[in-house]
Amino acid sequence: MALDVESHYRRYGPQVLRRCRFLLRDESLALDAMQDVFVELLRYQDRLRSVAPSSLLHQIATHVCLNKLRGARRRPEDPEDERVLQIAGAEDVEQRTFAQRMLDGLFGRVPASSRDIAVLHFVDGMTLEQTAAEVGMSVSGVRKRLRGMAAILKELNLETEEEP
Amino acid sequence: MSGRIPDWVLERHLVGELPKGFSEADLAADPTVPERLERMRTENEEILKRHPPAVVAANVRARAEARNAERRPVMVRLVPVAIAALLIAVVGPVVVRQMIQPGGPDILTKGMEPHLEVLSKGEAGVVALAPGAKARPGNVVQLRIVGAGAAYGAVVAMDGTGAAELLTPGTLQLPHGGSLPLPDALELDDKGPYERFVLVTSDRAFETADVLAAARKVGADQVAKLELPSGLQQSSFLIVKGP
Repeated sequence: MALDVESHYRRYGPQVLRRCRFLLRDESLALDAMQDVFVELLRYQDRLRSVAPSSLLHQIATHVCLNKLRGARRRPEDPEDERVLQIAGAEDVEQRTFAQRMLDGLFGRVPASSRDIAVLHFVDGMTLEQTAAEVGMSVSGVRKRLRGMAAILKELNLETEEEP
Repeated sequence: MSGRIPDWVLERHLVGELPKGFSEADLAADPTVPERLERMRTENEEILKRHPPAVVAANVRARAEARNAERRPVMVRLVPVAIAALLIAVVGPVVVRQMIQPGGPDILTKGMEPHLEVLSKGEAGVVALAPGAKARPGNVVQLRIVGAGAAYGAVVAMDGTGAAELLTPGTLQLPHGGSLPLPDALELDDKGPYERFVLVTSDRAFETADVLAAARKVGADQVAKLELPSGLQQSSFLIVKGP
C-alpha cells in the first residue's frame, strides 16, 4: 500500500525540518532537504514495518543533510542563517559549535555510514546501544566503527563510552 | 536516567513514540522538558501553517516521480489525478497518457541561460516549438526545464485572460545538466489568445506563492516581466493560439 505522504508529513514534518535546520543552518537548504527526506521515505517505506517512523526519519534526515553538507559545506555566516538558528530553537550555542567542529573533522575523512554513526553518538548524545538500535547494527559494530575513527576523535577531544 | 533529556527523545515523545530506555518519569525529572515541549508544539503549528501538508506532499510526489522518470527514460505514465486537477484550470483537459517521451538525451548547458523547451506532438512526430509559435486548442505540448546550472525551478502558466496557475507543485530540484520534463503533458484549451509559460529559477529554493502572485499581477500583458524577489531569474515562452 502506498505511503500517505501528507499524513506522515503532518505528523513528522516539523520534527524533520527541525533536524534539517539544525544540521544545515540554512532555511532554504533545510526545506529542500526535508522534502528529499520524505522522497527517501517513499523509497524505504518497507522499513516502517520494523522501525518507528520518527526513528527512521531521524536517520534518513541525518544522512540526507550530511550528504548535502558534504556538497555545499554551508556555514552560518550570514544574518539570515543566524536568524534560522534562533528559529531552530537550539539555544545551546555550545552544542551547535560542537556539531560544527565535529562535522568539519569528519567530512571527507570517514565513510558516510561511520560519519552518520558519529553524529548520532556525539552530536545527538545517543548511547552506543541507542545508536546501534538507530542504525540497525550491533553495539560492538558501532563501537568498532567509532574505533576506526580514533585518530579523528582524538583530534576532536572525543572519547567513546568505556567498555562495560 | 537523570540530566537533560536530549532533543531527539522529546521529538519522539511528541509523536507518541518514546524510545526504549526512556519513561514518562524520566521526562518529568527534567525541569526543562515542559517549556521545550511547548516550544516544539508552537513551532509545529507554525511550520504546518507556513508549509501546508497538501503542498509539501504534492512536491514530494513530484520529486519522487521525476526521479523515477530519470531512472526510466522511456515509459508511458498515467497523469496523477491531483496534478491533473491543478492543470485543468489552466490549460483544459489533461491528456491521460503522456504522449511525449520524458527526458531525452542530455544536452550541454554550459554557458546557457535557464529556459523552457516546448515540444509538440503532431502528424510529423514530436517537434520543438519556437517561442511565439502558433498552436491550436487541443494540441498536446510537453514542457521541459533546462536549468543551465540553476538548482531550483518552477513554472507558471498564463493564458491572456488574467488567469495564472502553477504547473509545478512547488519548486522542483533541477538536474545539474540536461533537462527536466514536467510530470505531465498538457492539452491546450481555447481560453485566451495565448498561453504563456514562465520558468522561474534560482540557486536556492524559493516560495512559489511569490511567483504566482507576480504572475497574477502581470495579468494579460504577454511580454511584461514578473516582479520577483531578488535572486530569482525568469524566462518566458509564448504560444499563440489560433485555428
